[in-house]
Amino acid sequence: MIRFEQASFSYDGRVRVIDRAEAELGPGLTLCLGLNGCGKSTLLKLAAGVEHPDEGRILLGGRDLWSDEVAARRTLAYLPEHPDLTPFATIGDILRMVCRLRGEAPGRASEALEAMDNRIAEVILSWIGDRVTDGAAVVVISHTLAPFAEAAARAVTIERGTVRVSELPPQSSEERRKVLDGLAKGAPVQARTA
Amino acid sequence: MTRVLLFENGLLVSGLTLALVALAASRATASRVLLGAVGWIRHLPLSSSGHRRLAVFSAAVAGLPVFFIMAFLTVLAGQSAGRSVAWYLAGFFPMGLASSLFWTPLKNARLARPLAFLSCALFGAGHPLFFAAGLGMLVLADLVAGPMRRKRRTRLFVPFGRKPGLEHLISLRAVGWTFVPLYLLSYAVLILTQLFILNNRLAGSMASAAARFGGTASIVLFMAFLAARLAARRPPWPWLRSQAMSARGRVTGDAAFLTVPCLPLVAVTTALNVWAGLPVLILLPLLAVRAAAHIRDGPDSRTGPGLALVVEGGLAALAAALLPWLSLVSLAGIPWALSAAARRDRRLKVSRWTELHRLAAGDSQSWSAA
Repeated sequence: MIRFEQASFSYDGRVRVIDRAEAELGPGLTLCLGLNGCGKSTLLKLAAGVEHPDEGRILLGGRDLWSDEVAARRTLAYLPEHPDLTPFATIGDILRMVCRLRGEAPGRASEALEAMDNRIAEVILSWIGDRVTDGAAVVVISHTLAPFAEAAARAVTIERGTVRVSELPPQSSEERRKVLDGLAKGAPVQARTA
Repeated sequence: MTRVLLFENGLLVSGLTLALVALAASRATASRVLLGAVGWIRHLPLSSSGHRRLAVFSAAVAGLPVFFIMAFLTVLAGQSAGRSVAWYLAGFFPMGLASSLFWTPLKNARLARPLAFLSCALFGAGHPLFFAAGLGMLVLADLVAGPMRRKRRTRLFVPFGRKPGLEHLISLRAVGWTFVPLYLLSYAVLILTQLFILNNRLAGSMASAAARFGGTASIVLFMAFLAARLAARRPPWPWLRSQAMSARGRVTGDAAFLTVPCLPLVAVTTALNVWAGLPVLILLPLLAVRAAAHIRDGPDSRTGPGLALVVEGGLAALAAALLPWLSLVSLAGIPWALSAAARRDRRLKVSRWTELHRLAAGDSQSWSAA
């Protein structure tokens, strides 16, 4: 469960990209939709603990992301849109470090490395499917809706900093795609707003 | 000193002095500005020599503040010596171009660099004939320089034996060989301190105070340059912040990384004066935590961590020299400094830094381009 409590964020101290977000993203797949530059990535960075909110707080599984930093992040996996690596470490180094920080066996690192050789999109989609089945809260930003439309439990949209969560009722794939497509293009929210 | 170097020891000393100052100044500016010249910008419709000339020009413009200071000092020295400085002033900007060309990674660096150095020295002589010769050398250096060379990929240093944590390994790889010149600089400060003590026949508390000042100053300089290098080469890693690591942990890790290489300097300070080593050692953790905090000053910092630390460390060195018991008080300041640094780490707008200067896709300043 990811919970935003009156969380605000601004890059320059003037324009609020996220303005007093009050949202609860429960188990299941949440699609973060909207036009370019509306604040989707920023919202995800806030949820991943990459950026610190200027105001308010963000809870992960009931733990404050910034006052209980280590425990809250143990259950977190963040995959940014661009590869965010350092030239001063190999992929193996990084995977071993993640295992150490999470208290997992180093063997997991080599398994993950093996997966890199496969078609990465399939691996990620399958990983997301597994996590949703496990009951995790998964937030995805994607302009390609087709792979996620079926499994999405809700959609998050951001308009002028205001975050809206729309629970998606059970409906046919076609209707669901239509709703998601509208939300992605910035259409007014028609689904039930939480 | 400027008067002595420029007007009282002949053209050779004047030329070499200004050439060395110009090269030192351009080393700092050109190495950073030129990082941005090897990325996506190369796809723009411009010849390779045009591209290189623009890069050199940008680096020279970035170094202008230093040349303004040099011009100011030259004018003062000229007035004091009653000499004309017009040719010196005329030579400063072309000297900036030549010194920037010297540091530019070039295909024909072996040919172009000596010519660029010679050009700097000729401009620094402050004579019309030498100025003309300097221009000729600069044009020649430009003609033989060839296109810019892409920097080779950083070879990762893997220490033998047991590996340190990856965070420290990344820091170590990022600063690389910086340790060598920094140790030379810091030991030079300690040698000067010892010479000062011997030359003035200081003994007892005076010798101890001088050793404390010199020891702290050497550590402050070492740490300031190391912190500046670390901040430039290893900016905040946004993704790492999503991992199970606290801001306090990151700060403590950096402080430890900055502390350990300073220990040999503390040992030498102790060898200089037995009573000087302990206060310097006690001051060390607070200085390291402050350096770790200044590394997190963010993209809006105009001076980088180095200058801020030199100012704070200079005061600390004075305090250690005059009131050694104050170093004990510094121990009480460590928890506060640690909390302040962790707060600064949390509040960093890392994505803003990323988008402006670092990892945005295709950004020539990205780590992969460096």
